Parts: sequence; structure tokens; C-alpha cells
Amino acid sequence: MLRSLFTAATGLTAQQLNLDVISHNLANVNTTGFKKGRAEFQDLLYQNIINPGAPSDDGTQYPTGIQIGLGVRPVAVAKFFTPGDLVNTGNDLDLAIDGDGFFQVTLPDGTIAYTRAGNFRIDKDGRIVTNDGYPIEPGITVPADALKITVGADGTVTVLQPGTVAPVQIGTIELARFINPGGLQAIGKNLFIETDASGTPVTGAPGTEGRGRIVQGFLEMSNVNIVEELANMIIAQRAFDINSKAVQASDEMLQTVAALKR
Amino acid sequence: MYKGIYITMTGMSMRQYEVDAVANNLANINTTGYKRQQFASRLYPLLSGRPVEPNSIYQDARVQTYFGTQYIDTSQGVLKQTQNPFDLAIQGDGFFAVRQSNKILYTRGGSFTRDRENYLVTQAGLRVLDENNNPIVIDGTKIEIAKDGSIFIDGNPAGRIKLVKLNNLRHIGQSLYEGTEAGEAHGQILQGWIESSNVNPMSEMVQMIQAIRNFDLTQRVTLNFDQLAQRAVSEIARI
Repeated sequence: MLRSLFTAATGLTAQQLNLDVISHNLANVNTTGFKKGRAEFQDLLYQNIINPGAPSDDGTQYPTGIQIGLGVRPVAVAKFFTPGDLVNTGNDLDLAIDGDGFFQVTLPDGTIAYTRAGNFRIDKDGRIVTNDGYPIEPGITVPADALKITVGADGTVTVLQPGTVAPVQIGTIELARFINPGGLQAIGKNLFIETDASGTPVTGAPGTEGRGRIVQGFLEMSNVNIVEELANMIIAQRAFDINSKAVQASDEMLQTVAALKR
Repeated sequence: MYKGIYITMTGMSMRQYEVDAVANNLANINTTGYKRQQFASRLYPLLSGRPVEPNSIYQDARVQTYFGTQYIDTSQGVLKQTQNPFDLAIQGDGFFAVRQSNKILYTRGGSFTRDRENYLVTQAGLRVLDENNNPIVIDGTKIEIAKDGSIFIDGNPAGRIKLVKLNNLRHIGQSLYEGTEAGEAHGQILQGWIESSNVNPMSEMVQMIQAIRNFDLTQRVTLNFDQLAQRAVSEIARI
């Protein structure tokens, strides 16, 4: 029946997805280490009513022909790993990464997940863990009598114990870096896992090979920019509105056609 | 029978194409680098096959038949700043070249990314080409792209992005175009920006209203022809 009706429907679906992505960004505006997404669209297929370059009746060529596009489709929700703002918290186990790179944590099933959220805690066994209890990789255990934990920019973790003056190193935090972090799969809880698209992680000491340095006492906020998201929201909503008008218009045309035969 | 009915019918179906084109523009109002389709109808001696003689008293009515054509409006879309180093927008003319299997296709949708093998790719995974039609490899942490397309990786020059002028432009979907290359384009590449579609909601709405009203009017003319036929059959000859 009417092509425009279905074309407009693809537009409505696309803008709905756009709003979904924007809402998710806004919902996580205060989530530590959250990275914003952006819905990307492409135009769909084209139906060639008259092929461009086809011969016309006058012996000339149609320079453009008639190509009717069939709408739009989402192609990606691209993740953007631009840095978020660093906020000073003063907490010893709040760590931020100044540069590219991810903290590595071990999931209960043994796989390694990656995160930019550096709000770590100490569990009952003294291990450094995320808020969900996932231990940092390589694992670091803090002695029970530790007075103060210091994390250096290069990832070395040292503690000061009672009765001593020299800090003792208890481990080193390693960071992982990906060629295409946009290809990482978000699995919720601020965690990402490696995929075929992201490439394999290159792990190493912070501050080397483009891996960022660690900043103790700071947290990385989300990189969501509220003003930008609200502007995008308005655009998405209006685009949705206008596509619904195209549905209305198609409906009106159908009505007109139906009135042809009384 | 009544040629009027067939003439109005072509008018109505052309309006339908026009609304199709407008609907496609509206559906892609948020598509990066989309170039709108402009529909134009014209008079065409489709049925008579006879050239129009200006000022002649006897003009075949069928010469009024509509026929449509359509072109791609390549005017600049709105530029939007994103600060993402792989977002590239073209200000001015030109298209990026990408490789799809063994074909070179073109796009204005510059929201690129880097794949696991360090190639610069579109969001659909097609490799972006440099001046010599080779895929662009970006191996480094600091990527700078100058306005003329020159790439600097960690401060070292690493080729130049191809920007071409195109003739015989044709939409093939997925934000890609086919065309014949017509030399280097003079547009400038802006890093950290993307080009939105060049669809203007106001003019599309106006065009849509026009198309619908025109469709309505043509339908009424068709109805009149129908009434004429009815009268001829049932009133003139009462047997």
C-alpha cells in the first residue's frame, strides 16, 4: 500500500531508540565512570522507479531518475570514552584514571571485566573489591592492621603499618587498554567485557603506552553532558512528532483515495 | 474511455511519490550526513507523444500529464560539535571514500571509529580510504586531523583522508552513495564535529501539505470525470 506510511514508521522507531539512548544517558548522569552512548542512523534501501542514467523518450538520459528511499535504520549505539570530570573525594580507595585505560576486576565466573569506576572498597578478607564485591585483578590484599593505603600514579599500592616508618608495597594495580574501546560490551554495573570488535586488552603499568596514570582520592564522574543530552532530546522528540505527521498525511491520502469510489 | 481519469491518476501517483520522498527525508532527519531528496514534477507528453506547440489553439490535454523526477540536494547539513576525535564533518563540498568489498562508495556520514586492527572505519565497519585509495590505519594515541585531511598520529604525519567531488550522485542506502569521481573536493574536514542531515522540517512540512492538497484536488477532478460518465450513461440517453 502506501510506502510513505512504512517509511514514516521506520522514522518513529528510530527516534524512539534515540530517546531510549538519551534517557539511559540521563539516568546515568551521576554514575561513576559511566560512558555515554549515541544512537547512529543510516538511510535504508532505495527503490529505483526510474534508474538514473536510463534513456528517456527524447533520446536523452535521466540524470537522476526516481529513487524512493524506504526510511531509516539504526546502525550503532556508539559508546564514547571521552574522559568524565574528576571529583575529589579524599577517600583512599577512590581511584580515577587520568587518560585511557581500564581497571580489571574478576567476575564470580572467573572472567575479567573492565571498568572506569574506581570506587573500590575492602571486603572482610582484606581484598580490594568493587562495590559489588568483585576483586580487582591482579588481586591485592590489605593487611588488617594497615593504617593508611597509598596508591601511586604508577599503580603501586603501599600501606603503612603500626610501629614502622617505611611503607610496605602490597601489590600493583595494572590497567588494560583497548584499540577500540567503543567495541566493548557493557554488561551493567559499570562493567565492560572484551568482544571481537574491541580487540584484546593490552595490560601493563599505569602511565605507560598511553595507559593513564592513577589519581588517588578522585572519582571519575560520567561523561554525560546534560545540556547536550537535553538538546538531543528536543531534537529526537520533534523528529518523532514530524514523523507522526507523515503517518497522518499518508492516512489522509488513503482516505482521499477511498473516497474516489462512492 | 475518459482520458481525464488517466491524466488525473498519473497526477495522484506522482503526489504519492512526492509524499514518499518527503517521508524518507523526515525519517532521516536525524541521520548523520544524510542528503535530502528533492522531488520535482514536470509536464511531460507521455501519452500523446507529440511535442507541445506553444500558442497553438489545439493542444492535446494529455500533454498536461505529470511526470516526476528527483534529485539529491547536496547542500550543507548542520554541523554539531561532539569533541570525539573520530567524528569528522565536511564543511563545503566533497565526500569521504569507503571500501565495500571491491567497490569504492562515498559517504558524508563522518561518525567514524577505530576497529580492533587500527583501521579507521564507519559505524557499519567499512574502511575509510586515503588519497591513494588505501585504508587508513591509525596506530597511536593522539590523533589529529587537519582541515585539509592530513592525519597526524602522535605528531607524525600519516597520510591524508580522501575527499572527492562526485558527479551522477545516487543514493544506495546505508548512508552511502555511488557516483563518478570528478577530482579533489575543496571542502574542509573538521575533527570532533559531525554533520547532521540537511533536512529542514519547515520546508518538508510545507511540501507535504502541498502534496496532500494537490492530491485532494486531483481526486476531486477524478470524481468529476466519474460524474460526467455517470450522467452520460444514465441521464442523456434514457432508453
